Amino acid sequence: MTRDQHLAKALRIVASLRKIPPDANPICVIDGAVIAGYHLGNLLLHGAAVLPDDQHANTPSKLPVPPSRLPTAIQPAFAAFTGLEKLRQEYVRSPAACNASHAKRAWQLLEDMMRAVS
Amino acid sequence: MKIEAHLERAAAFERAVARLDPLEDGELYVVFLMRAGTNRVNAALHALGLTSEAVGGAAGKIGDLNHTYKPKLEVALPPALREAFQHLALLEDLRPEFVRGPGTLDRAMVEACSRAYAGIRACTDSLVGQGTAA
Repeated sequence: MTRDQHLAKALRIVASLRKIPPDANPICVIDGAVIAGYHLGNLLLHGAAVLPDDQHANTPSKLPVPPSRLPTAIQPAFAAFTGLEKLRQEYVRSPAACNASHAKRAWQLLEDMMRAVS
Repeated sequence: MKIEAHLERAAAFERAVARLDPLEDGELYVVFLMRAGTNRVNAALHALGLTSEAVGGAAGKIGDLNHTYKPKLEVALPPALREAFQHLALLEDLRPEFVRGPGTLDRAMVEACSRAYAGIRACTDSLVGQGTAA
């Protein structure tokens, strides 16, 4: 996918995610934020020539290089994406109790990523 | 994860799906139906004693599945669960085109998703109960 396609998808998903109440449905907010983060992250990877348009990394843990070796300009966004992936592992795929503060944190991390592409 | 926790998560994803417009919000519609289905399938596998509720597995059994194919489940499934796996795989297989790819769902795809999730519910209800945790 091209950067424009990733951006369009990310914006669609963010708009969808705004329909989910963080206090009532925090795990869904976290999960949805990771999906939006996928598109923002790959947009940045394509832009920084880390990956061509036809190759993608699903999450930071699947990157071909450690996040610490990414171009400096996109490292903050990938720190945020790593935070989202960690939230998903801890609260969506594990039994830990999740609340609105975790959903709020997911939104903060997603907004960090959105700022990086704006 | 405990059966009750899976059912609570499935119910949470079902509630989220109810807030979405499947055509406008197709990406999350697919993912949330898939998550709800995965949780119901995990609950059913635990109820049958085919997988362990312990995180990471125990007593020679694997723990929760993230997807129908991961981690690999090397046990024979009863027919109802085999069918549930087929429905869940349909949802999983939509991700490359409609979640991670540029595609958008049309009405026919939405109906296919809805039928797939209804199938998962039908196949797992008798194993884990019809109700959804509040």
